Amino acid sequence: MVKMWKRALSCLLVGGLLAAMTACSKQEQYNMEPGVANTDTSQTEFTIMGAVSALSKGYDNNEVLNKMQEEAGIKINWNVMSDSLSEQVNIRIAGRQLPDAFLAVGFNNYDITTYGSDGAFIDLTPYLTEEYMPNLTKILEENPDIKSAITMSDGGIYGLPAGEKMGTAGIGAEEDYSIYTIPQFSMINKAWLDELGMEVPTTLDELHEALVAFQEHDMSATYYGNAKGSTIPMSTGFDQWCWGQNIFYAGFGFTNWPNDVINDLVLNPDGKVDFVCASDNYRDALTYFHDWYKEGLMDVEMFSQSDTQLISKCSQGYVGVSTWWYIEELMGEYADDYVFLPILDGPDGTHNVTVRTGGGTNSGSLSITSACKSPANLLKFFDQWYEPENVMQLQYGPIGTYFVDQDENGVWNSISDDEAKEKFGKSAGELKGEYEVYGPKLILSDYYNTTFKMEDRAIERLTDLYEFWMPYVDNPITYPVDCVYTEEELDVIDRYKADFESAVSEQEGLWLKEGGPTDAEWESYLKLLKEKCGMEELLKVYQGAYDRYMEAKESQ
Amino acid sequence: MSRSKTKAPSKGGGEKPILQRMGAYWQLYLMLLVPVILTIVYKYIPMYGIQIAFRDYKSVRGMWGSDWVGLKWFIRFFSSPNCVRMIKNTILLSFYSLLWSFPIPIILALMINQLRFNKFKRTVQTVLYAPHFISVMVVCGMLRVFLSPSGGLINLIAGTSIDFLSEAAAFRTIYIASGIWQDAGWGIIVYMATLANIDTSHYEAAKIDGASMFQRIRYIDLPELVPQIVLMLIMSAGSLMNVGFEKVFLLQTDLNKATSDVIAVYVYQQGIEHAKYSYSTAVGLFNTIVNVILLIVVNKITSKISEDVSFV
Repeated sequence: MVKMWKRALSCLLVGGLLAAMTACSKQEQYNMEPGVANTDTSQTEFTIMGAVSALSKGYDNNEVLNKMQEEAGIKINWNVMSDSLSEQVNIRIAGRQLPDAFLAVGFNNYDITTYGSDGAFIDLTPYLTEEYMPNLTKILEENPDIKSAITMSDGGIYGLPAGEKMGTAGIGAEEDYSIYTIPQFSMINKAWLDELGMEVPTTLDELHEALVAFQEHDMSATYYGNAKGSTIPMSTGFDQWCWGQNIFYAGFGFTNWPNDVINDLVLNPDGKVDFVCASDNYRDALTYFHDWYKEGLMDVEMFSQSDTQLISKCSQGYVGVSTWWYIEELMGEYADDYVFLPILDGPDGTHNVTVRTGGGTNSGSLSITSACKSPANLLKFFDQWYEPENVMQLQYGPIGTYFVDQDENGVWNSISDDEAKEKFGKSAGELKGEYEVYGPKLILSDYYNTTFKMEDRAIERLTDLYEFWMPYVDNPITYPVDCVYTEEELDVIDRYKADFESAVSEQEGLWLKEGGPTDAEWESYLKLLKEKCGMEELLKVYQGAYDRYMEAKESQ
Repeated sequence: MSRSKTKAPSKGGGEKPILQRMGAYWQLYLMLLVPVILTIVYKYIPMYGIQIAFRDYKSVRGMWGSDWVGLKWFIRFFSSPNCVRMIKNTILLSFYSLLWSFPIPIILALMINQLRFNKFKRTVQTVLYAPHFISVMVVCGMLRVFLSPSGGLINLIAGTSIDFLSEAAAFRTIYIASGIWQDAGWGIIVYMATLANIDTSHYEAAKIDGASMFQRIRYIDLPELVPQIVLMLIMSAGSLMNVGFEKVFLLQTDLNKATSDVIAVYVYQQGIEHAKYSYSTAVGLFNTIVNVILLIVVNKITSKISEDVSFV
């Protein structure tokens, strides 16, 4: 009898299992032959999943987008979010619940190649013709470097190009350095220095003296009248993009920019890639700055604070030295008291800023999936994104709202801060946040001279970058973000990168905080990187991809 | 659970055929069907998904089309740089949590049970279990504020400026202490209910015999609580390896990883953030296997203490 029960139960179990399997019905996939354009144009309503600015009101009532949809004769249902997008997208892809396209999800070349090769994303090469995408085709013909940047190692193109070539060329400089070249601008309170009768430091040791003096005289309390003992001589984040401590490492011959291709990768002038995190300079720097931390000159909270915490400390006048994108936003009403801190010489008199990769072309902001029945219709819509005036409106805001008038050459002027406050009750930056549409926007450097004027804030930063910071840079070459990897190389990166990065940043923090490394610690750290974190394999991959990249560039 | 229930009728009579006996109580079996089906649908059917731990899962090819790769992902996990540390942290964190937070509700319940003034008793109870209703997200936000070196409560009281969240040595204490604060009050409910059922004549008899308050707790309350305690212990053992993922994730910084790196967070990072589904499933499966082993061990041990609450 018991046996029968068991049998009944197991029948039920198996039945349920089968039901479940068949229940996950396969989503219809309109997969097409690679290299052949799909001429079906019956689908006119599309679902697009993607990113939206936290300030935005969404894309449904965006007049620019609606006009372009009308032009292309399609309708788009926007499924956009500003939070946890990549998690949602990963889940959708894993569950094969694909929308027609992904917009501004931030796929890197690895993701695109993987999803392209397994057929989740369609190859766009057959559509890059006069017939389907006239605007983009023209741009690609004129800029072969963009085309090679978005072509993956298997020859397919799985995403439309995006890039903002905002660089020093836009302000009339000869060289075109991306605005991201040096993310961290360091700054010091000049008013405090004057009060103490000190000069703006030029070496790390002089900065050390200044920080000690700030602390001893409790400048925040004595100069700004804050609470006693509130002075924080220097406050930054730890390994953060524009607010980290990394710029100070320049005195030791390197800067390890976070969120780069890989945190600690540098490209030497001879074209060899290297990890700074395994070099003796790196070890010296950490040993040196640990003393600062121990003396209380660096904020104890640097390892756990958030950017808003830093801004709040700085805008209350507690902080003597910090780093940020530019001074005003961080220091608030005290901004006038601060000046840029030059790149400081290290103990042995050298300094070197290794610049950050930036301003490349990426292809991760628009991918069409195999669920899309009529890619041609959708691409007709996205081709309009490559018209200069459209991309300008998508980036900042509509003509009539963000762009107010044209100068004699037909170049649009954007709304000023005062005007924006008067008309809309918000700053120009907030206005941009409300209207900006994320996606495959390609802003070429000549647009700033022919289509619209660059923002004032950007001009200011680029001018500072070019005039104040670039003279400190000996070698402005960077590892290209648009390098293309083969599938085996991607596997190696996939396997090691995350563990490598987390091992390095953890060790860096521990040594800064607790002192070291001793010889034994250094040896075992190197061993860990080599044996467990695949340092050599990663170097080989990055070197190989770079060599091919340069070869392709030279053969153009 | 369901298995032992379905067995029960066959133990009872033995003469009549099972279908006949079932027919007599068919309403009960119909009711039983609901939880059985729910368990199958929500607990057993999704289990077919664990096979992707042995495949190289590609979404387009789907569950059945992806290639078998055997134990590749398990091997990768065991050769990853922090594997040993993660397993150790997971086990220690849950073990210490259990060690410190398990006895506290029992002690609290015994203490509150001695309160004779009912209104006061109820107020104490409510105050104690109120923190349970605060979400983990908010608790972590509060912890960050309390532990901040610039003006945080703890540093103000101690007169120091230590950044506790970047101290590996402090992490377990923070995790466990905040867990006790949040959940100890909630945990007393079961024990209070048991204590409330004790026949008051026991106490009266004990009082007449001259038993002190501690003797009454020792010889009346505690023995009554033992089955509950064992039951709760087995239930906590079942989730021993599932440390509170959200709390660890929200309180983790680069510098406390030495003690805060746990398997659950790694599974989330690899699976959801880096979209390595096969790998994270393999790691999660390993975690579950360890958990099942622990559960069986605890069950075996506890069944010696109290026979009637053993499960397997």
